[in-house]
Amino acid sequence: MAETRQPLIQIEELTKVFYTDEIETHALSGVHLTISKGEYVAMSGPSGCGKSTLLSIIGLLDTPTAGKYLLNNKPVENLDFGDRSRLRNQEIGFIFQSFNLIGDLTVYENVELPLTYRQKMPSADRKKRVMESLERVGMAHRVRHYPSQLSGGQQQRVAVARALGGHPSILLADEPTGNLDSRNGEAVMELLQNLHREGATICMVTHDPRFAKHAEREVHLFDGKVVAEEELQKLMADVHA
Amino acid sequence: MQEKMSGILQDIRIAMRGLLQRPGFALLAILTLAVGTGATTLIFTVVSGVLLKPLGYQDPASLVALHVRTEKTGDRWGFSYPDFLDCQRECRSFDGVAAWTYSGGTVSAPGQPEYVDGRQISSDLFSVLHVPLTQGRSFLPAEDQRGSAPVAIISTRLWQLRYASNPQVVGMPLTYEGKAYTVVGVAPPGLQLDGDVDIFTPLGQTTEPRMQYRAAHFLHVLARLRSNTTLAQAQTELALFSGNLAKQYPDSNAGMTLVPHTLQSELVQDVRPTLWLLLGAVSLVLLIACVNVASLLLTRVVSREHEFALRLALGASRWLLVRQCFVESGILGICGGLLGLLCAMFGTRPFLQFWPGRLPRAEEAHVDWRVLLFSLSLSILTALIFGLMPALRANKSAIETALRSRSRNIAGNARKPLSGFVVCQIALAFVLLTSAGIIGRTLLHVSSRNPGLDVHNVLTARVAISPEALSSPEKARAAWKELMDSLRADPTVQSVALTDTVPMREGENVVNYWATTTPPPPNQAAESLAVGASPDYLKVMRIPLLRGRFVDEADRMDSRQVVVIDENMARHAFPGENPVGKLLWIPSMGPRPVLVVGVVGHVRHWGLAGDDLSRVQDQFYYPLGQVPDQLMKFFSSIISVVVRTNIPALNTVDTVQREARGAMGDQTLYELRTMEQLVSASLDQQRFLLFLFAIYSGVALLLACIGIYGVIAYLTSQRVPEIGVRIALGASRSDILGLVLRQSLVIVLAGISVGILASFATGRILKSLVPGVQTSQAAIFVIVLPLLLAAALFASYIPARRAARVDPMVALRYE
Repeated sequence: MAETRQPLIQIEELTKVFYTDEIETHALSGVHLTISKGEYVAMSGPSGCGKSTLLSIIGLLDTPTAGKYLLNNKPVENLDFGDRSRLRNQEIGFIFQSFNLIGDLTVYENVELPLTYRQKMPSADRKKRVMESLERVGMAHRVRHYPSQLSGGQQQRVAVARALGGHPSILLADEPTGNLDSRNGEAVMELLQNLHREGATICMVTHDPRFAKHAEREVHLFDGKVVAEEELQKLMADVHA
Repeated sequence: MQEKMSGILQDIRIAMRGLLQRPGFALLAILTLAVGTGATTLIFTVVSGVLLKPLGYQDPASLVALHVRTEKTGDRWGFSYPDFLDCQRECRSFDGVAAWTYSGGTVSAPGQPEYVDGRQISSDLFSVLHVPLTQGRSFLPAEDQRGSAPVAIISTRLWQLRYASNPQVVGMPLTYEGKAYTVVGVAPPGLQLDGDVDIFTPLGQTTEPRMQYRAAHFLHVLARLRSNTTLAQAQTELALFSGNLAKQYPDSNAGMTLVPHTLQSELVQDVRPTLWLLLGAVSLVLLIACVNVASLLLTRVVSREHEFALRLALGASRWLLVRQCFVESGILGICGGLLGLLCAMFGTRPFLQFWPGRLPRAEEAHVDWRVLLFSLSLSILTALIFGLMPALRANKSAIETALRSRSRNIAGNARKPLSGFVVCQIALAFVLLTSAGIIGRTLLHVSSRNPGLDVHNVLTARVAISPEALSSPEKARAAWKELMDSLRADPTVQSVALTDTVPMREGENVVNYWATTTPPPPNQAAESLAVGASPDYLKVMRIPLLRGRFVDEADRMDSRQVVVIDENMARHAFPGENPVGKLLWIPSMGPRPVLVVGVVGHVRHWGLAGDDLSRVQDQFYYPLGQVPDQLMKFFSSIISVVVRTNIPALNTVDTVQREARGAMGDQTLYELRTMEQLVSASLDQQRFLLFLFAIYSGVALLLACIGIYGVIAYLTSQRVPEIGVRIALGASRSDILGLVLRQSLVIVLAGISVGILASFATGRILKSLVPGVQTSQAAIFVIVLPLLLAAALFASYIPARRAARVDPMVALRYE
């Protein structure tokens, strides 16, 4: 089934090097990755393996040092800040570990926020999208609440609604259950599962193998490279040894 | 106790270390405070020296100045000589009553002829003031009589200059106004009587006719209250005494009351409002500085909340945290105060140089214990003001919340107080800017007023007529004519006239008049400025002639007494009529009515700004040719020359002075001023205030901008994670720039709103204190609003730009 899907994200020979005080840190070293439309991919690996860096580059928050990155068949690795912002706003929906809702804004305003950055989007359209998104995550009854008035699970559902509101091509979730208890974590995973069933493309970074199992495909990273699961097990065993 | 002290010392050490670790913060805070306390201490130094410090006389509180008050004119009138003598003799509330009036003339021997300022004084003036003479004695009562031998007391300056500080000066001769005097004493150095004085002569020896008239109010009267007599008791006695005089002399004294004021308030009453206004204005600057440092400290306290929470968790009491905050603010306050004190010490003299006109008691304005006490109190007060909020904040630190470290909600909880500080700063800066605008607009407005004459190329000067010419009225008239003729002969001179009153210069003669055959009730008559003028006066001043003629050569002693009135007087005395040919009764010109022969335009005699506010709006001119013989000597002592020149007036000063020396070469001109200078000087107060308010508002604007920058930078730094999220959600750089600028704009607009309300109140205060001020502020808001907005947005732009460049990866890592 995956073979028939169109590729949404194509990454080839991607490297990312950080330079600090004359020290080079190779966060990513020649990563190849393709994510197709409608696919649900989980990225896992030990701390410092480059998961978050890769997710940031996929999310256009950061740029690679070298390599190719095609989003919807268009090269995006060399876009300037403004173009990346525009593309991020239209094509990518973020779900963060710590929700990152803005405390001064209501639930409605938080979900509306990315839409306000779109030029010429009428407020009626924005309202329709916001309410649709909130209904999809079951938070439409809390539009006037502030984040501090919600539980962690509810806050993450609002964050998901915010990511969905822009009708993005892909949802990028960075440890979406990291700040939740197991019950709320499960609920969020179920929500992502439902969204995937409805056709959403999802790329999720997670530590937890239980949650990684929810994805269609698991991508393992180790020392900035994509490795097969067996190889990862071996490498991890070597590290512990 | 010892433990407490050691705790405080420990706090001081920690605070000093903390400040040294952040030298930029400490320097900014200290400099900000130094600007505020320096400006305030400087103005207080002047206020203290001029208004608060007791006079330099023995028992100064018992010294009073006596005035004549009438219902119509208020209480600024001097005494007549007969009233003074009666008061001196009969009033029991005083240990002594003394009088003085202005004089001055040429001292021609020993040494070169020189014009000097003099005072005619009653014999007991020095004893009333309790001022001992450096040499010799004061005048004897017998010398204070008409026909006594001429005696004089000279200044220390004259003693040093003309007698080489000879200790045997008493008994030596002095020629003053062509008359031989004997020096009987030397006044102490620095003695002032409304300015520096070089020669004192006995008042009672004066033979001027006005000495006999109860209606001639020209004497300044000082008295010393008897011990155990209060000002109120003296006032009661003077009221009774005035009532008796009114009964005895109803023609001159009806409706008049004598009133006492403390001498100190009398001396400084003209400058008191200006000084308090300036102190008020610098206090606003100080307040802005305090708010600025408070916001700086608050941001520090907020960023140290984790540290405070940790200290609390380790067992520190809340009071210890508060004390530590106060110690830090106290160190900053004292450092700023000391620097401010230095500014005041070195800045007071240059400041006084800028003061327009003469500031009474200016020589007493210097840093003394009062100023030191004020400065210390100010430092402590400012430290309390700006340290209070951070201390309260420290006191409220919640251990659990703060120790939970980086909270998940992205909103700074110090936003409200910090925004409040910026609102205060903007409001205060707005008030100062608007005040400067009001004064500036007033200056522009009054500068464009028509003074009523052509001020270009006109030179004015007082004339110290040749002492020889004062020996007879004929000689004096001849000297006047000779002076005008010799000046006319100069090719740079277009026309010349003599006058006793020059517009916009001190020294004026206000008289009563009426236009009906029945005189008004005593002290109810209308008042007018009386100007003696020679025929060419109108030509020199280019005052428009509206009807009839001006005074001419035919107006002499043997002809009908005439006057030329100004348009205001025409309107008031003869409403709707042609005044030419009408009669006026002017008691000071004699019992017979005078004939109005012409009407001229009004001259703004009391200054471009002050004239509209003057009690006396009417003016008339009378011919100097009709001055009676017995007044010729007096008029010769007050005569001035006005010269219209063909070239810029200042270029003719040397020539005019040379031509004016007279046949004997002992005639001098002094107080040479062009009319342009006099007109300009009439706006000195407004110009001076504008200068100071411009500086204050500039400093206020700068401090407010620094404050806005600091607060917005801090608030923005608190919002970095939020900004990261917004960028992650697709916000562009301009979106973030707009976000921060909008936040700043809301605060600035709130400050401006408060400022607008406050500036309406300050406009009213300015109107009551500065002549000519108009309170309509719409035009000023049009200038101040965009200026303040632009400055505030510029100050916000830097942190906004920094926020727009936040790396979303770094921002999100804050989490």
